Amino acid sequence: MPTEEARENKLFIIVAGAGKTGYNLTKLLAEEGHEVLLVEKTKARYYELNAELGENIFLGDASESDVLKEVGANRANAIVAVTGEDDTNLVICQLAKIMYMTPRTIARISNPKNEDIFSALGVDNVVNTTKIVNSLIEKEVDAGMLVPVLEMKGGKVEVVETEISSNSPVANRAIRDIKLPEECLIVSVVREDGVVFPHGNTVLQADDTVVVLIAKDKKAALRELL
Amino acid sequence: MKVVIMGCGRLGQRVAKKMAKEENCDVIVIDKNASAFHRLGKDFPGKGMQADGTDMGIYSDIMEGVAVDVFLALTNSDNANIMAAEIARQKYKVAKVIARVDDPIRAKAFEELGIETFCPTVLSEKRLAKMMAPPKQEEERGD
Repeated sequence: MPTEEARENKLFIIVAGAGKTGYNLTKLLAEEGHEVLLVEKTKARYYELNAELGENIFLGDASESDVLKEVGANRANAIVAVTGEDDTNLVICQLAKIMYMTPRTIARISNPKNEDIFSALGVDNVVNTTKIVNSLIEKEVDAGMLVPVLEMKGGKVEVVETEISSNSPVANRAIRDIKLPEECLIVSVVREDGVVFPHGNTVLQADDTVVVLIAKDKKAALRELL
Repeated sequence: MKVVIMGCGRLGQRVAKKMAKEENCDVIVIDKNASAFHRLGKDFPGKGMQADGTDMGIYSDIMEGVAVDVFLALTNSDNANIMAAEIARQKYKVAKVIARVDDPIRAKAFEELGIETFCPTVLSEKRLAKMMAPPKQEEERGD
């Protein structure tokens, strides 16, 4: 059930393309209490989802101007183009932006090389799926097990988590005795009995999970240390 | 003159062949389907290049460092044509960019956005209207 607050901040969002992303996004936004309309151009997929989504799904090609008009692009707060084709997503965003003044346009792109042109052409947010997946894979294989928690400053600064193994040179040592790299700060230590706000006297123990704020280019140095 | 044509279909190949015959006219045809180039024939003096015109990465080879005078987007996909035309116009500042857009409304919308478009649907419609009009005299005949 949407809360009172959600109803006040209720948005109208058009999602173009009922692939897995579009479908799940529609459900998520509807659950959050927003008004959402999913636009799908193939009949088969439309009928497949119609029973479940009812009036939240519309049959039509969102890259056609009259379809955008019909679904109410002029009163939408945002349009999200997540069809499988980069060019279609671009056209949808451009039409919505220029002809219907949709304040926010978001496009998914599959070809990472297209990111620049999308931004240059007035698409507000570009979701570069391939790049994201790629960076996730890179994170997955991050040796030394620095698990990324949060990225800040466009990825220049990161919050990472790591577990202290019993054979790590920093185990059983006080933080003040550990020579951390520059631009690297231990922000908390999580152990079985709770979270420790660390200071110089805090001794790291095996199996501690350490949360570290670190500049991206210092990660290698930290890995070495652990 | 340097001309880049995207789409080696019926229309693209005709335009390509015609332009390549002109003097000092350097023509490159792009198509994502390699088998499309047979349409150009063996004696085509220009160049065929297998590539996806909606991939921005391909243009660095073709457009960087050379002044392209004309870019024609002639595939049967409106959206692909529009996107390629935008790349040529915005990123590579090609002086003459023309896109084929089959959907009349879309053609008009992007014309307003500053892309020069032509719409085969509208052209055919006009032509048909002319053909069906009561014959006044022997005017143009269909070819």
